[in-house]
Amino acid sequence: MRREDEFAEFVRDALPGLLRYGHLLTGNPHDAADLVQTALERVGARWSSVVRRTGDPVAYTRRAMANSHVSRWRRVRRESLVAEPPEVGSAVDRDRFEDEPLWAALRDLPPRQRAVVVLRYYEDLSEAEIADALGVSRGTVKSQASKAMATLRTRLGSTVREGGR
Amino acid sequence: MDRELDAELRRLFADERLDLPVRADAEVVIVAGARRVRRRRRLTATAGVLMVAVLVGSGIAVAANGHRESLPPAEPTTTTTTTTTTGTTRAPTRETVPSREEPPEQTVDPPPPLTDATLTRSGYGPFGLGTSTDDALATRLLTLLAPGGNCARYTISGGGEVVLSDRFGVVEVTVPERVRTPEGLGAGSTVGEVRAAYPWAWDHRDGLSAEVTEGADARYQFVTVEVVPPAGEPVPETHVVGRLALVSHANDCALAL
Repeated sequence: MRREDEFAEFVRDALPGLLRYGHLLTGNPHDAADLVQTALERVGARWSSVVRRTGDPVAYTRRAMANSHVSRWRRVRRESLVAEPPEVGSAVDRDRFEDEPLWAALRDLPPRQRAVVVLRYYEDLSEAEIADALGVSRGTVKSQASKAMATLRTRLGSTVREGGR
Repeated sequence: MDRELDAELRRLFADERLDLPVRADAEVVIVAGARRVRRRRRLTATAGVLMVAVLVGSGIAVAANGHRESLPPAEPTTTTTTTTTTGTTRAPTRETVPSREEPPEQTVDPPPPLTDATLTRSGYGPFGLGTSTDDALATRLLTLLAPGGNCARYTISGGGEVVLSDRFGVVEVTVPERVRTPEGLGAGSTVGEVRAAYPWAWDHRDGLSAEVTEGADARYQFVTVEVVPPAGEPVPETHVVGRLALVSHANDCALAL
């Protein structure tokens, strides 16, 4: 029971930060909550071993979320390559960041590119650490980051030229 | 420009509007979820997939999932009293139809348990996604199971559960084992069958999720009996669905599972 209390306390403390992180990764509150809950349930199911082996359950949970989010995208990639990825949950968060061009541009990035940007600028991870967290090569991280930044630059540049939306 | 973009990204990521509200009882919900995952992991490890598939047929596996799904009352002469004020988990109170006269407020006939066989793309019986909390409670088919801040979970007379959001009304419906999607999928279906019926399905919370039609604002959630493999590995086609739910994307109760 004590172990479970410990885990509950961890959840209470870490949840706001993890939800925020999930929001960044997924681009919408609904998928963020799902991603966080799924990751935490799995962490909680093997809490002792996570604490013992990682020493930093928050970092571990964050990596698990990034990995899981990108993995999900890998599965739906075939469809996404043909059509734009569906804006899951857009009905909920229309009032949130609609006026933020950078947020809109980030949301439109493919999940793996967005994850790379989030891990780089929110988590301050190095290229090698991002590669490790996402289970991809450093070359992939580099190319995904470069594509993402080019897209963001173009989107922001055109927004500025049009005098904002 | 790069330095400018770097600064813009850091500014955006520090924006407080990225914060999301946390349910007051979120850790209770997550601890219960973790317990469920542990139990299923143990079950899968000890009993083996074949054994689990057998359990699905008998309904035991659903109980092992930690979900309280009740089948329709066996006795047609029983009635269900809807309780919406208790703060703790409580099953519907069943009473034998009284033969003597009762005061008027107690003789109001309770509605018959829900026996619908299909979870449509918009809801289950009177519980369409988006149905207001008042309208849902007015059916007198609901019994409070787990109260929360802005969300609460109810059992449905006849089996299944509903999550009601103060803001969005019905946001989620879990159906009893006998109920199927219009495509005929439900408890006992394999992951392979789900993928064949919904090619756009993706691996998601403890199984698969699929928008009811591609790009729709609601999704079917197929929770498998077996524990989902580690991230990056697809859910095997042979895994078996133990629980079916319909979930709205307009939903602020995602942590109310």
